[in-house]
Amino acid sequence: MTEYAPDDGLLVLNNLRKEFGGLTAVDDLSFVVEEGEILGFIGPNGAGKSTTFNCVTGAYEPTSGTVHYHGEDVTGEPAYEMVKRGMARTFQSFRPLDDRSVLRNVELALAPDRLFSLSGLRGKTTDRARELCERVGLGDRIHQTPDELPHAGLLRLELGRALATDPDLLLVDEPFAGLSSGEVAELSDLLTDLRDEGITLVVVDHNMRGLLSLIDRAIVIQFGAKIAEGTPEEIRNDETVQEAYLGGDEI
Amino acid sequence: MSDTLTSKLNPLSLPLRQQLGLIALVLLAFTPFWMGFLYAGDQGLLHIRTITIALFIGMFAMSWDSVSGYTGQISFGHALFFAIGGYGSALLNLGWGVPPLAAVVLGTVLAAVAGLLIGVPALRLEGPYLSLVTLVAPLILLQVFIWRSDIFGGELGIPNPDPLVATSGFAQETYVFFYVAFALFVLILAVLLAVTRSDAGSVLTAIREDEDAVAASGLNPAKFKTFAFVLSASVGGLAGAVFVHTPMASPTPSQLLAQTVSIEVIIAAVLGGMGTIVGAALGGMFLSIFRSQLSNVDFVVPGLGVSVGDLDLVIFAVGTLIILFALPGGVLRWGIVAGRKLVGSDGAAADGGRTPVEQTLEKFREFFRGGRDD
Amino acid sequence: MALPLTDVVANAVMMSALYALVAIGFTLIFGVGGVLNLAHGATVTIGAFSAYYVSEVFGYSIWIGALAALLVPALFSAALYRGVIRRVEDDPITVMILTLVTAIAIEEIIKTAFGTQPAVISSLWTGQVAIAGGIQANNLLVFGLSWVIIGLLFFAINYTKTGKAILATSMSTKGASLVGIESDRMYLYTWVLAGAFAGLAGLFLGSIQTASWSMGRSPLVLSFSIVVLGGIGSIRGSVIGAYIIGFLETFTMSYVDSSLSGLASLVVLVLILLAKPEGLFGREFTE
Repeated sequence: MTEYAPDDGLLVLNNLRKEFGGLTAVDDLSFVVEEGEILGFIGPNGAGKSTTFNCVTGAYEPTSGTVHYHGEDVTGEPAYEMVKRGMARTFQSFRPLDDRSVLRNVELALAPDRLFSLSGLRGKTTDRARELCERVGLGDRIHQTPDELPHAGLLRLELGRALATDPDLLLVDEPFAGLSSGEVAELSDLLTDLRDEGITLVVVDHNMRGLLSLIDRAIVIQFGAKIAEGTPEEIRNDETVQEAYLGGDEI
Repeated sequence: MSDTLTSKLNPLSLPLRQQLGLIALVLLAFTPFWMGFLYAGDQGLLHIRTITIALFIGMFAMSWDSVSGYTGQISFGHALFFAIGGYGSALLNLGWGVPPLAAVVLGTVLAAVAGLLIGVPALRLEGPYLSLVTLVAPLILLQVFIWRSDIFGGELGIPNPDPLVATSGFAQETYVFFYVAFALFVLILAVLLAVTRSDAGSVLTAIREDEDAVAASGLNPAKFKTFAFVLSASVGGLAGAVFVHTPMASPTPSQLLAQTVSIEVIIAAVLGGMGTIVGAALGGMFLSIFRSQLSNVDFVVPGLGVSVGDLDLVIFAVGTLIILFALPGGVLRWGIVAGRKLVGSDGAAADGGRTPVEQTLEKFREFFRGGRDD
Repeated sequence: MALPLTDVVANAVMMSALYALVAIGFTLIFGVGGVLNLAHGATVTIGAFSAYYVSEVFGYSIWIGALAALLVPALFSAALYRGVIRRVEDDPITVMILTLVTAIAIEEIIKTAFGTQPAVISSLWTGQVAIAGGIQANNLLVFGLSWVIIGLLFFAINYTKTGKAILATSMSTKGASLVGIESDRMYLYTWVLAGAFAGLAGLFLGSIQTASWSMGRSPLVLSFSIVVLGGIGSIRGSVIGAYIIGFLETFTMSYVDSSLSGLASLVVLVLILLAKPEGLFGREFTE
């Protein structure tokens, strides 16, 4: 079992374990996310990707193990705390606020975590929100409500809200599901642009199709444990990975 | 930045519905004059007193709405805070001779503390369990009042404390306390509107919609929920405290603590429109006036042998439920939408068409489905 | 001036059985139907007064009265479910308000029809029995019958087809419907069952103590505590919870202060909710 030092990377997981009653969803998982990379976090359905995700982002508390971010121990800190530290995430099953427009959705993510703030600042907040919407390609939909958005639009909204929190690490949960190949290409471009702007990315997916050309490096897990690590080329040729995907037909 | 602020406060540049609201407030301010004009002598005075009480019920309803209408955490026993404020203030005055104004302030503080003590642990619970705690808390308090009747007066309550303002004569008393109530009403309305229309308000409604999304936006949901809960407890306590220092109410369970008081407040806010503050105020006032008018009716229901007057709450509750089937968002929202259509403005449904009641119900629904894999 | 321990224990043992009857119905509706039926207390009252009406006013045997205590509340519950609840069962707040309003209405009607004086229902069995220094025969019978009924229910739920269907529905309506169980029918059975139990409890309470228009309130409030303590949807939990709460209640009232009725159990309720909301035997809350 490899042990990483807390500052081996931007995000360091050591022996992360999450058990639900008798079920072990994450099994002593250790890996590193290096600053400035796009890391793929891959595994078949049920491998424990989302659970790992949730443990890292503060949605769940790990049963044991540690998470270090920027060298600091952040294991078990609540979600909003992680966001304030600069770690943002999108939700796989999109969680937009249905009761408000796209613009107001992004505005929420820009709101300070303070009980009393001058509403006069709304002017600047709205401008910034508009900028962000344009950044993710929702510029012409800012006044629409989430139920009026197509699938790809909802994904962009997730990204917009995540970016509004000014993160240096962005965890994207299964973004390629349900996208047409054109949309996959657009999304890959957007993510690459974000990385060029200085944001480290971890992209989770079970389907390597859209992922392999995008990512620099990949971690593959199955049954909550790491089974492979390396460049996309290495992963593609790895036998354990191919078996995990039942004869490699997903690759 | 200061431009947006002043433009929000300038009456002439407000949206029509807000201008109408201001006009209504002004009209309300002149109630003693309308009443004096429309009714002779004592009858007019009695009507003013009815409206004074209605103002307090409106304040209670607003306090409930500020937490339950916004965060979706439904409080089923909000009367607890009215009672803590009212009894606390009265006991300080009666027992320790604290002057009414100071007693009111301290009573409010007590209610705020209660809100904190209950809110912090309770808000960690899932929807229906939170509601159960809020349902049960006033029962506990009532039981304590009965157990220590020597201090708290049990079911009968305690004697009236000193009035906030000394007055002489029925008429003067009526006018003075109407304006006391009105001033408090406007104050509470202003404070709650300021909070709910600010950034904090949109966070609260976001919490009702999806708490995890709020956390993922870097906002601490527990902090905001607790804030709303304590604010609503304080406002309720303040209203309760002032209420007992007027001749319109005494510190008794039936006026401040009974289950019916809590239900009234819920019905009023839901009828007027949850999550609007103004709707709750209107609902509360309407409910109060309706009930007092109905309780004067002597008509006996044939076959049941019950006077309509005793059934006023049941009638109102059933009526509200019927109205809710027709106007799920409450009367105020319907009024605004209908008004817009009338005036011809194209205001698109900026709230995405999901009313707070629907959102809250969705949360409850999901909670129960959590035990089954629907 | 303390009461002899045996008396208090005997009383607690018996009252707990009655509370269990009421709580079981409440937990079934909550666990299976997913709603808090705040009219459950009023159902108890309906049972008591049905028996009273049949046996005292119409003059039939108390056992016919018992039948009425079983049937009338069961019918009432069925009507309430079919007529009102079913339309809104997705909306727990509306259900709570509706059932609360129904309870108020029932209480008002009974108060007007019978007045506020407590009504006396004849004992099912008169005289004393020479056990543990002399117990009222009626108390013993009530206790015995309660346990027989609870036992029958336990057997029925766990070993009959319908009973297992109800259990399945309480765990997953979708899963249950996949094997051909009609959830609506199960909900109806649950409500009817709960109503019958509540009605019987009303009769028993009425014959041991007296019946009055507000007699259902205290059992309802105690049910909250029992059901949360025992765990939602668990019959075993309700019975055990009923005994814990029943003993707590009886002992508090007999030895501490009789005006503390209900207080101890409410405090327990709040503590459980804050410490371990799923109770003793309830479903684990998944994250």
